[in-house]
Amino acid sequence: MLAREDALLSTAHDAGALKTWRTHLVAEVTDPRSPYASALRQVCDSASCTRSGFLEHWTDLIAKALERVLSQHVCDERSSAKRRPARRRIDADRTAVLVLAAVHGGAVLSRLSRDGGPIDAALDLALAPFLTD
Amino acid sequence: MTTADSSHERRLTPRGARTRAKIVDAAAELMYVRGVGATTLDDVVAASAVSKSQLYHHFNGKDALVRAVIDRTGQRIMEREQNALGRVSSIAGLRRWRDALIRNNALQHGAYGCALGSLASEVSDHDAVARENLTALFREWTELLAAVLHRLQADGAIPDDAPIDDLATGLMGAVQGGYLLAQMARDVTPMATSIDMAIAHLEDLSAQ
Repeated sequence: MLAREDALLSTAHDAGALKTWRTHLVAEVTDPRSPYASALRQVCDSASCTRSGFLEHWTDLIAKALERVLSQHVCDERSSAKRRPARRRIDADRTAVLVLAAVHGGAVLSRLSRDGGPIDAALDLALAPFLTD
Repeated sequence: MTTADSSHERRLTPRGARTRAKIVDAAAELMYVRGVGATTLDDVVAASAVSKSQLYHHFNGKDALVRAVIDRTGQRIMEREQNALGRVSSIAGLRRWRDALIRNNALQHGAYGCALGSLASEVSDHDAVARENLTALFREWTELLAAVLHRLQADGAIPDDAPIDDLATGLMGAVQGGYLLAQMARDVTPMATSIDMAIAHLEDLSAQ
């Protein structure tokens, strides 16, 4: 699963690529046969240290992708003729934690309600600064 | 609560009700710490100091007991959240709500997660009645968050066209995910970060 995430996230440089990754993620997590759904369903057990390492790696992949998108956004704003109001500097590392929480929490709520809405809403909130103009 | 459960509960004497409550409270505590799967009825009998026949008088099996645990846990959490969120009408108030969640979870170093979320993870795939009850509880909790966001919107802190129900669901997702990350790390820091960032993103809506 991390290999697939690496392949998608390491090539994400702009908001469009991030949207593609987000769409792929929701499709995987809401498919009960997917390795993503299986990975997220594992309960906390004695292997929590191993699981913690897996989550750190995933968080790192997400944070690096967000940082690249942020850098691209800064370049775009500098070359744009439009003036936009100054935005709060977004912390990619902390946002990555929120994104991972959104995936996990959204997955629990979506599985409970048999509805993809909650994970969509959770990721929309987590990625809001990156997916809006 | 199912119709059968509520009907049985209404027929109880005060002493019977106390015994039933003792069993449910003991089961809830065990299932919170060890998980539903790892808690046996024998464990519950030992922890509640009742006899096996008393347990089976009140519950015809583990599924019935788990549903009662869901009801009791849901009731407790909804009371807590109604008290905590009922008068929140500002971002500062939302942060105080966040502080209380983190403080409570930090008492166990995040080890056990959200009591309701943990139940949802374990039982929603194989007990339709339990899943329905849990869905209703999470809907109620999310509606409390939506009511807060509506108050923020009325106050101008969130734009008029912001999708309140989706934002409330997103915030609930961040909270539940934060609990899970804290549980896996045995550390509340990721939960604090997750909720902080979600609230910051809500704040940013007014700046756009």
